[in-house]
Amino acid sequence: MGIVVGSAAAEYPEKPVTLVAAFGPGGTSDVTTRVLAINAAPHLGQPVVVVNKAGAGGVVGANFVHSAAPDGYTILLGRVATHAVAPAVKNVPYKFDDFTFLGLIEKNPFVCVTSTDKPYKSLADVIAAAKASPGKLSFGSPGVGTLPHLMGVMILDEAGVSDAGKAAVHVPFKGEGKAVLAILAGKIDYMCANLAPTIGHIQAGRLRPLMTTMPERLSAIPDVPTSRELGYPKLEVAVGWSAIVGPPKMEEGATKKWAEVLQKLKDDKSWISMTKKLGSIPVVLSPEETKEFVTESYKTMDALVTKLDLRIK
Amino acid sequence: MFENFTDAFANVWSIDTVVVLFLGVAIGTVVGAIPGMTSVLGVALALPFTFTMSPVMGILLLLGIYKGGMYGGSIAAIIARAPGTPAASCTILDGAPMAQKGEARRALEMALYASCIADFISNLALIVFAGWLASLALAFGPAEYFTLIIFSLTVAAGVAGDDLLRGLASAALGLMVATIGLDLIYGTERMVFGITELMEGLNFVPVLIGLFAIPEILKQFTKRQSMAIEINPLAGKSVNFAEFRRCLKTIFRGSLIGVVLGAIPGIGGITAAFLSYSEAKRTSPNPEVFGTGEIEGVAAAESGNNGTAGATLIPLLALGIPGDVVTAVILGAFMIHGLRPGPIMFQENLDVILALFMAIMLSSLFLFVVGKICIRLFSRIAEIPAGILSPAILVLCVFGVYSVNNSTLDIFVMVAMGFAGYLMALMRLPPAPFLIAFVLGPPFEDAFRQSMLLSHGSPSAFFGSAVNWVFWILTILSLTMVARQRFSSAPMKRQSSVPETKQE
Repeated sequence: MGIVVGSAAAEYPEKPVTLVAAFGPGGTSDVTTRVLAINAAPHLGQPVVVVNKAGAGGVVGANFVHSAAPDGYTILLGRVATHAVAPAVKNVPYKFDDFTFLGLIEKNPFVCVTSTDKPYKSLADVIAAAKASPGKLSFGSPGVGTLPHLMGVMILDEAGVSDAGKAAVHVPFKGEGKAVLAILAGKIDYMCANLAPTIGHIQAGRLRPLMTTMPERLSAIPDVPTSRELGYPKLEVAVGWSAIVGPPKMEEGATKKWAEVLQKLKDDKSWISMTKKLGSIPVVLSPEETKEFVTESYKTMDALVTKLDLRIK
Repeated sequence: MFENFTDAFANVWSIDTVVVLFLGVAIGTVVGAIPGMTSVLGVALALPFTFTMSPVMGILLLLGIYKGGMYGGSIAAIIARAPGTPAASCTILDGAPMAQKGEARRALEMALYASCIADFISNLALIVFAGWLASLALAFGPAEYFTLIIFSLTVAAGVAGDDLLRGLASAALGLMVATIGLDLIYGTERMVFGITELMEGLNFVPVLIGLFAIPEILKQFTKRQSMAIEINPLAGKSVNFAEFRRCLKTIFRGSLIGVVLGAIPGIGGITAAFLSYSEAKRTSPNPEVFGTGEIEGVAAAESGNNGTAGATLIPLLALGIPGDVVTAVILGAFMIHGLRPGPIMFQENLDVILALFMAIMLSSLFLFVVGKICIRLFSRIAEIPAGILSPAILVLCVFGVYSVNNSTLDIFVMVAMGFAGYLMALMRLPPAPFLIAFVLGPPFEDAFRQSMLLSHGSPSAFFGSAVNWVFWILTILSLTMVARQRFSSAPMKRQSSVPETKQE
């Protein structure tokens, strides 16, 4: 009997696996999920079906997987939003670490930009303006309680602007596209966003990049200083990421299989090239490293939210 | 430049590309024609297939589905009184009454002609005016959105039916339902009652299907005997040339409205359709026939929503900003192939852009061919007796609504909205103002609050630019027209509202 159970577990997966995208069709998160699904399937030996469960900034999808059967057939593409920002900023029906972490797959670099029509030539100019006339500047984000929202405040706080939460006006937009449009139109002064939706405008000379948040400079915009170079290494937490996670206490056979799949994916040229084209950096971490990374990400957000009083009541 | 042209030509005129585009249009039309299933679902499912295609081919598949879906929605709207896609809900107003009068064929054909012409004009606008219209999109900050939406809301008065008071009551209900969810600015919960799924607010599709399709099905169950009216699209007359010519002005106007609204991200086909409809009604010599099965109403609605189908690509291609969910998926397809829509793409990948432009003109033609075939195929549906057809439509609605976000809550929302819609019908509250308020309510509030944040609380924000003034003037004009029409037909209207106050 024991042998039968053992071999059954080793045979995972016996049927297609559902990979939940916590955001609606069309966003970076959705496309990343579909890219992962199509590239992981051959290594897994079964099709991977993407199902969108959008709502409440990813919380609906994450909660769905959290309460799914831990058989390994329902897993989630966890994001910085679902597992670090949302649990820190608002009440969510799950704990950020009450999941089975299968592996980090990528990081999404952030860049802080202003319009080239604005007088700010560097991050120092923005900070000086915020200090000179508090409450006058404005920054955009794709919604309240998102990473770009926290970043907009965190920059000022790190630079020693007093009462950073009120030093600049936060203007949330419905989605990244609208926020980028607002900064292109010069309606807002600065914004930190994913590299992907801004890079085209940076290269066209409409947006001026002020800072990136990866430890090294980005090859796409090599002239832009990193937050570390500018003396704000703490801002490096402001980086998007995606990780595969399952429901709590997921079956061991499934967990092992996914760790294997991710190790193969790491060298999969097709996946690497697609991920890079999406403006992301492929980074595959082991389950243990992933848990550490996510915990660190959550803790930093939580501390920041507490310090700046940004929690949504 | 010439090299780019020949490259683009080689890219488009391969048999594979043409077949893929045709396939896309066909898939889109069928998906659009099924109530609840929208082109969003179509493009999301097709996206992974494009990963392995050439960039031009992959994007054409998605574009084909998008365009097909935009037209396909009208088929369900006319035959089944269910909006196949959200943008087709305006088509119901006159399309469904026409079908009930046995004129489904004329309605379907007019919808197809209006769609194809509007699609063609929209594509042309994309190719010729992309740069100029993109700068229009850049002129739209929150304050400009606000004044645009104020103007669009006056349209609700135009589709309120013969009783302005009932129209306003319906719009007020729509606004109320639209407040459900988290507010954009501070993330405050409104009428969420601890249900996580409600935080995002109610989804479009379940509300629309609930409002339009379900009451109709309920009606058929309550008075099954009287539902023996024959709806056979192939019987009945075709659109004759005189009719077509009469509607041509409306189609052109609708297309232009669609082009302008399509170029501004986030406004979309629903608003364009209603604006076009309301304009057609206002300028018509007999506005009272609108809503009772007037073919010009179908032409106005369909030209309005299809007019956006090419123009939504303007902010996408010129600025890299998707105006709606479908263009967001198409953006994803671009990026997978290492292409970044935006100003840079016009310099670095001009061959791809030109190839898309060439093929996109072909899509209007394919739309015509596919539409002609579909009208024949779907006409068979109308031969099914209502007693079998209604439950089948209900099943499709449930399936379609669930598929939008894989949410059972959406099915409950649809059913609840269905009963609400049925009650509204009993109280003779028109559904269209509800819909417009539901669609425009949230962006109205968001744009107002964003403007106030940016201007530090000063209302001067709403008078700061020429665009603002244009829309203020249009709003005043629109309200004056409505007032004038109301006063001229006031005695009749008062009589009709008397029994209603007793019921309440």
